[in-house]
Amino acid sequence: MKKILLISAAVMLLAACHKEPYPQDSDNEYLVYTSPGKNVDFSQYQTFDIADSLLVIGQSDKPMYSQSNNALALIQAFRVNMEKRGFIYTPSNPDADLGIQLTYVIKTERFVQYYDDPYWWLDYPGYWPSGYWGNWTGFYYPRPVTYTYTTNALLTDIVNLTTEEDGKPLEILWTSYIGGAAGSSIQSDIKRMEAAVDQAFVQSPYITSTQTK
Amino acid sequence: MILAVAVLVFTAGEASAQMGKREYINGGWQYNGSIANNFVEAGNGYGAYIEGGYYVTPMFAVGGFASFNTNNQYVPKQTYTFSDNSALTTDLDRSLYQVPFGMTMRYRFLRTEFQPYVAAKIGTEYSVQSTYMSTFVSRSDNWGFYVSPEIGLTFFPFPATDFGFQIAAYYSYATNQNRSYDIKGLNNVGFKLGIAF
Repeated sequence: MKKILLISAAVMLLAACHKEPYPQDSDNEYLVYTSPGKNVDFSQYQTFDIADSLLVIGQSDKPMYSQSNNALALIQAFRVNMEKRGFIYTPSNPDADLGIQLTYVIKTERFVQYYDDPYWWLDYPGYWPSGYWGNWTGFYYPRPVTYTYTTNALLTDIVNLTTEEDGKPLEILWTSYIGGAAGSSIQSDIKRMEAAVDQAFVQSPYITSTQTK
Repeated sequence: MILAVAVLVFTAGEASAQMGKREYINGGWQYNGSIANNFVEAGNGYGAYIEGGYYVTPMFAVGGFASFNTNNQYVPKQTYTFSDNSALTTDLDRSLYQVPFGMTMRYRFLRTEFQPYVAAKIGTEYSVQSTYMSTFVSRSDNWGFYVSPEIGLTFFPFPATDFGFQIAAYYSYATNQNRSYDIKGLNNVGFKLGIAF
């Protein structure tokens, strides 16, 4: 009976021992996902407009529009790529064929460490030596430790303005999601996002106006 | 290794504590390589095992076992294009977690302090396949039938005690399937090092 209990306990223990990959294995670049609408033919469009502000969600209680330098850099990245594909930028023109709207989402996750040995760093080589504060044998935390990590994402929609009708939603021709863990500074995140915007167009070769043909 | 085992076998003396003992428990660390599949082909040491049995005859034992191992593989950045023209560019980590358990049969060739043996394990395997992309994880799990032949050696260097060591090598096959990752069975090879009672 004791052996059965021992083996049963071992099986339950084993089931909790999944070794997760190390986050530092990542190349630290944003994931880029793009998706066109069904049967969309971009060659029939020639002009585009792009929202002059970035919609920011998650930085305050309510969504806000930003025209900061960082916001403008992302807007500019889309404008440059669209022009490279032959579309003509027509700002504030009600007759533009395409409209582009950008949304930046920032989200902070919080969780409490529950593992059996949550304070692994106390044994980390170079961590505060136990003798630093006197003749102590080590350290412990008398409380749970809460961690946070932050993710951010850039969502972009290209909408069809040629079929705009009052009271009807705009047709979304293309959407992209660029996202990942936030870096050490917003400047570095913006640089990574600019590169990701370029990648979004690289993997969407069908976004091409007749102007380039 | 075969030669070393043979030398140990033929030079071994009688072990006292293990002679009359009919039950055994082994456990320790195992290094597993997942092979011949389209999901993760990697070798990792994130595993452990425990097994025990009872010698129903002086040489033949039946018992139970359980083990686990994780095999992780990093896939550098690639662009994946789908049939609807959507596309995904990312690096990712794939993780294959396997927990087989069931019945084991063991035949030992000697009842000395060196006990070479062959074993066959039959049971079921619970497996989880995970793909980590940026801040997302895609995960699915499944069950399969599990078989594993094994060759090994238990060594009891302290004749007055039941304490010894174990070394073994194994192959395993489980029938787990996952259509999303084109997994049609899980093959593994590996070795394990542990203690024996």
